[in-house]
Amino acid sequence: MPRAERPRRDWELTGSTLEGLLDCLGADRTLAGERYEQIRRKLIKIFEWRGCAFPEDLADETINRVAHKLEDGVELPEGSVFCYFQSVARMLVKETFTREARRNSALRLRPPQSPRVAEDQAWQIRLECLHTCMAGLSAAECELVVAYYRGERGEKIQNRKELAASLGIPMNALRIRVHRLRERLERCMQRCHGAGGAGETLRGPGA
Amino acid sequence: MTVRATPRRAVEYVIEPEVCARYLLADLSDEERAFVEGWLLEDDELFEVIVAAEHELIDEYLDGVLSADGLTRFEIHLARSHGLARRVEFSRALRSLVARPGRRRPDTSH
Repeated sequence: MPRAERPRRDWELTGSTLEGLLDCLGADRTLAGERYEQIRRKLIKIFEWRGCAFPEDLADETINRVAHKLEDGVELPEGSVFCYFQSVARMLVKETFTREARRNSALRLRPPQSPRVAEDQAWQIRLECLHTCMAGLSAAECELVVAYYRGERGEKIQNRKELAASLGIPMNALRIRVHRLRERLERCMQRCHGAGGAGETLRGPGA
Repeated sequence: MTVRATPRRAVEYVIEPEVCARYLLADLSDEERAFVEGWLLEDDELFEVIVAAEHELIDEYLDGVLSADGLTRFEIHLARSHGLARRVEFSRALRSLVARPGRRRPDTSH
């Protein structure tokens, strides 16, 4: 795992700065709030895909910098707000890697090691959690997930094509449909695992 | 790929599975990467396509079907990213559960 230090927070988002940012994201406050959340979610993923440690912190730092620039009076042409977020994010990626390279070189760190395989017990808890979470899906959703992951390699690919055809949707739409269910399951599993495992949920307290 | 593209062409380019995989494996040029990120920030559907593509990539990793170069790139990323490591573990668990008949869905009817 990354041995990086947490990014320094250069800015804090005050009420008026946040208001300015939301104004820029839309006249309707609810819609602007949703856009804000969506931009943050995308930025987190972008930093993650770029291989940065602490993607959430970097996403927040990006938003803070953009908000402060807006407060300072930077005027963005209509529709260019995403470009602005992107250019600030790219700058932060560069800053992060430069800082990491300097730090790693100074400390002569070994390259990061692959994550360790989970201990048996933790693995069992995870499976129990997932099992419990699957129960939260409707029968049709559960069947879709099972059908999507059924089979090995080539057989699985063929199964997926047939599944898409049977649902009358293109492959990309099938992927997106399954990935949404997967994300729900993943969030549920994290909550369950964090709470100590499926047993808590299944048996209830005191059992 | 030219950086100036019409929205339609951009969408078609980004949703290509090969482009998604190469983006996720850091195998695009810096210019192409920036192009993809610009569009996925702007377009919610493209963003979902790339998130879904990451799941596919994790499957390919667990199936052992990534190319040698792809595997190296994936493992470099895996070593750096807590989020990816968590998703790989989740996929392992999901595949394991799906492969176990009768353990997919507890009976909640009573």
